[in-house]
Amino acid sequence: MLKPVGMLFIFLSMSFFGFHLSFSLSRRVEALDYFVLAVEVIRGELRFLQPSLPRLFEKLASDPRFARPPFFALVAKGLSYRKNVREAWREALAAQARDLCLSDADTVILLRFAYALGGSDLAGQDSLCAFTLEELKSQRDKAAEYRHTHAKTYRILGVLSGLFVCLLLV
Amino acid sequence: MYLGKEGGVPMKRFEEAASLLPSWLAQRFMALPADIKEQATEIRMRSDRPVSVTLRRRNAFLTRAGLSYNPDDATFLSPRELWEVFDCLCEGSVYSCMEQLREGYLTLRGGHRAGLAGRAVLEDGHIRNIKSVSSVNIRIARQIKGSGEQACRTLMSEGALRGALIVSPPSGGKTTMLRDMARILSCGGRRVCVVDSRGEIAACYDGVPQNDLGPLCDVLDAYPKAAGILQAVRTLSPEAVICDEVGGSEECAAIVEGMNAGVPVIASAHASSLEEALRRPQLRMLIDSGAVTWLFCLAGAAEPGKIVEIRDCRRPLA
Repeated sequence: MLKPVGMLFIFLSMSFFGFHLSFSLSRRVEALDYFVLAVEVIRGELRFLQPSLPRLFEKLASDPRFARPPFFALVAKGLSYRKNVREAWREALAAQARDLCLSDADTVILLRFAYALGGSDLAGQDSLCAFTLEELKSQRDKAAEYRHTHAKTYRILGVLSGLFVCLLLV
Repeated sequence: MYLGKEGGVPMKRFEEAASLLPSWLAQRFMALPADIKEQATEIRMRSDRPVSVTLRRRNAFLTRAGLSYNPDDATFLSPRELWEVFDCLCEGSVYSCMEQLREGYLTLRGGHRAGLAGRAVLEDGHIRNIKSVSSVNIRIARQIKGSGEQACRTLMSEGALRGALIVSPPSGGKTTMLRDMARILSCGGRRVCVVDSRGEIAACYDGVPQNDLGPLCDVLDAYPKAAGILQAVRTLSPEAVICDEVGGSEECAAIVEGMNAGVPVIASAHASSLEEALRRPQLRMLIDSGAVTWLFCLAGAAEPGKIVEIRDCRRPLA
């Protein structure tokens, strides 16, 4: 009795692991889409309205497009506690790391963006947004390509690994 | 019922200004005794030099224990720390303050004002930006309610509002008086427009006047005076327009045009006396055209806000 239950557990665990890896690839692509849209919105806001950063992030936090994950709500909250944008952004990234599934390279791009945000005139901020958008889009395209080639593989590997281990135990 | 904003006691205003600084510096100022906070008019911070607080007519230096008149005991701010102060005052958003930075100041929440000094970045001979900020001087805003009462009583003595000019040497209290006149007229049911070119009358922050200008006051923040007066007259149907420091030909022409449209303008001008004001061609033009009916001359820095002479321009002037 124990053996079939154990084998079922192993099979399900390894399959779950394979699906989890597959979903994390999708989550990464969604997260990069989220930040591409966010940087485009930030660029537009800076160009036309030039709000201060606390107001900008309050606006983003209340925008339904950025409700999930609540990254900008965390940044706005950090700014309301008198933190600077770099600290608030870094802490929000750390808090949301599990949901976002970003790679180290993605995180470096986002941290670089936050470090330079607000620190120059409008022309400089526009250039920063343009550069960051280019980098994020490139990362997103690579992530989408990787997902396309590997997501199914991870799912199948997970299921097959589970079956293999179960067969070994039989 | 419009109750207006409280003028704020001096200590509360000092604490409000200090709270705008980074927390590691703000707490030092918050720890100062109440009587010091009541007297403080400015907080001055300079790169690699002592932090000072201006107390009415003396400068004291911030130390670990409080304040001292000896600069040797004082707390110094490093260039990095001063940059952190500047970044905090800009709310991390230098791009949103560029117009003010070019003029060398920042309007802060609460109506306080930070004067800045540093290295100018020039473009075609004009200041484009300030870099390497070396001094930040926070002037603690204090609205003096009642300073415009005497002038408003004179203006309204005949029922209809008429144009007026307040003349005084620097630091005579012209802007303070104009601010209070806007408040009194607005609270008295008059629609008032303030053309606030340098953000000194209303001190708008995020579009909200930080000083109490009453319930019926519209503010044209950072507008050039001539364009602001004309726009106010054409689009906001004011019963009076208020602006600070007129003297250029465009501004005076705009004031005359406002008068022709039936809108009196109440303005101020630099002059050490009424006679000096009358010698200036543009101001004389305002008087001769009838755009200015009342002239108020203030005492000057020795007694800010005190009116020493009132002239009715409808009577022969010297």
